[in-house]
Amino acid sequence: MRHTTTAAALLALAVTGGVATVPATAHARQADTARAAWIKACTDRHDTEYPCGPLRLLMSSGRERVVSGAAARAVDRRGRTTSDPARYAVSADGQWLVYERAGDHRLVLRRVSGSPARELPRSLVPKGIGTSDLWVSLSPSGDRVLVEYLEDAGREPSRVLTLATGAITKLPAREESLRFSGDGDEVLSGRILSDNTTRYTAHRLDGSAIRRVPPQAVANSGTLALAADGHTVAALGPGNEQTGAKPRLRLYDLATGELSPAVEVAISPTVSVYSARWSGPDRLTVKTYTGGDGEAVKVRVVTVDVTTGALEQEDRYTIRARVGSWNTAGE
Amino acid sequence: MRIAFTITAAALVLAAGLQGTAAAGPHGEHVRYVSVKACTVREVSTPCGPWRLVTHSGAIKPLKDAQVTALYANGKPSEGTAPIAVSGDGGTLAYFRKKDGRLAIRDAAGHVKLMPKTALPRRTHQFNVTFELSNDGRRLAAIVAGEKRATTLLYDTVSGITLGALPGDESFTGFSGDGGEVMTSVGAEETTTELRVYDDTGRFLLTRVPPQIIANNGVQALSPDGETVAVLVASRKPLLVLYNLRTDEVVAKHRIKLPAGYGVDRVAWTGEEQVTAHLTHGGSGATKMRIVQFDAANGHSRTRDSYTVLRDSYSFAACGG
Repeated sequence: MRHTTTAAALLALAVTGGVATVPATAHARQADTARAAWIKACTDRHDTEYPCGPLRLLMSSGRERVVSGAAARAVDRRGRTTSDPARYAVSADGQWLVYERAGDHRLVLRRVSGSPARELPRSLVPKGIGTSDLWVSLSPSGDRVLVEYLEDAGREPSRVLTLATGAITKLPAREESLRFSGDGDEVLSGRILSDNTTRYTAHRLDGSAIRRVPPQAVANSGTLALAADGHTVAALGPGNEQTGAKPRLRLYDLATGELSPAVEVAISPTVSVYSARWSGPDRLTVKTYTGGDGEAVKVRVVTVDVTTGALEQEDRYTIRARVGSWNTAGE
Repeated sequence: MRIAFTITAAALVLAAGLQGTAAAGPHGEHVRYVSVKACTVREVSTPCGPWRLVTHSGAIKPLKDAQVTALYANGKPSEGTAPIAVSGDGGTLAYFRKKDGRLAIRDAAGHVKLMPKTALPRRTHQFNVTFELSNDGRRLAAIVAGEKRATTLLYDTVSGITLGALPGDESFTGFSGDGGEVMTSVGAEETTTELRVYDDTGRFLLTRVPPQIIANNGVQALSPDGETVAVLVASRKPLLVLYNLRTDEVVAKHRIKLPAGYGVDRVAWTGEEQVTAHLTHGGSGATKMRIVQFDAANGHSRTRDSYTVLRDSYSFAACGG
């Protein structure tokens, strides 16, 4: 989720990722899916921006939909309304939406196409934690929910809810910036160790994990995604606007420590790469944006061949101006 | 390398005609640090008076011929403090001479050698210059900042010859333990930090993108043979980490002891198997300094020196080694 009302990135590490499955019936007639969800920004009489109005969905058809019954603002640990946007996420396939219910701020899940909202267990928002202290995301196909608690909320272990079984897996506390792997069966996290290095861990939901302190090129890349195999990490650098250097992509194996040579990806260094996820065995879906800060947010979705760096455009869309927060499908 | 130093020191002392008692060892009457007093007028602090040499015996001597206020190239005073450096062994000083702005090298006996007038680029503002001396004082680097013509110049302080230059877009991290090489760090592609080693004439030797533990832990010091980088990890579990640039391997991670509340100021190799760190404790009031020697083979340490910097200091420069 990107905030334009709260300037600071809430997470210390920029790990991104998640997702896998190619929409199996892309060519078939199917219900309209969501590209992104967003909340408007309003300005109070002190000229301070705050999230307001309903949660909205930007659909693949280009239409816009209002999610009724969703909160606009998150609450703190005492239940008081904050100026942070409410939490929400859209699965990579654009079919599932998790959000904060207006009134009681319970996390709920529903189909984008419209279904009764399913209440998620209260234990995902433990006592003493407000929704403003957490971060929620969905697995690529919407079958798992990941809740991460931000630093202010202490050392609460992150939780993964598997919807089919109702099982909740706790991940080790103090791991940050968690994201699902390409198939949603693992979670990638990062942690800054006492020696000032950043270590990345691929957690399986059975409690096992592989972890490694990667080279600078991976740790400093900014955008990471864990593949469906649970051990290959794609690391996409930011490029350099001043030198014109394009972003570079490397593959790193958390199991062996092997690092691939860098391939250049034909993305302009003037746009912000903010998300990458594996959408096939050799394919990443990468999102970039320009705008924000009062300007319309222009999102571009491309797929990148991880071995050659070759790029194909998938989608581009604009979220209109005065956006308080926005969050794209499978981000 | 200590042998080479002793011979040099003796030679210098003899050449200078033996003023008083010659230093018995590298740290006899040598300089611990130099300091300039702060004067406060209407709540604005400025450096005032001469640089003061504070020796290991605690004696304070004014260094009258060294420039204190940094000058513009046209000779007008700026608000900055002029650069000054003390070699790691405390035996050599480098500074701008007050009288004419010439680059001056002063040895332990007080003998001053002037570098050629052309040693620095013309029209250099003094406040854009930083000096670094090798541990033995035989090599000097002048790091010249400036948007267009940043450079690092390397000198032989004994002959007065300019040996070479380093690319200005690389940050000078220091001389190797014996002064035979220099190391720079540079922000490279993929937002990585790269370390580069040159010989003392500026000839490129090697480059590496070191692992996170070397890149992310501040001051990197190059060993006398120019191959091993040492860093101190000043955290809950302090470490002395050694990294071999040639083989691209972390060769040692020694658990070490660091005094509580101290931060790492400088790190330098002071022998084939010795790393010396200057640790400072700011806090309220005067800066406390502790100099600790680490055995590179096992991380064992001993405190070589500890002192409190003169309370009235506006600025100070400690010996590096």
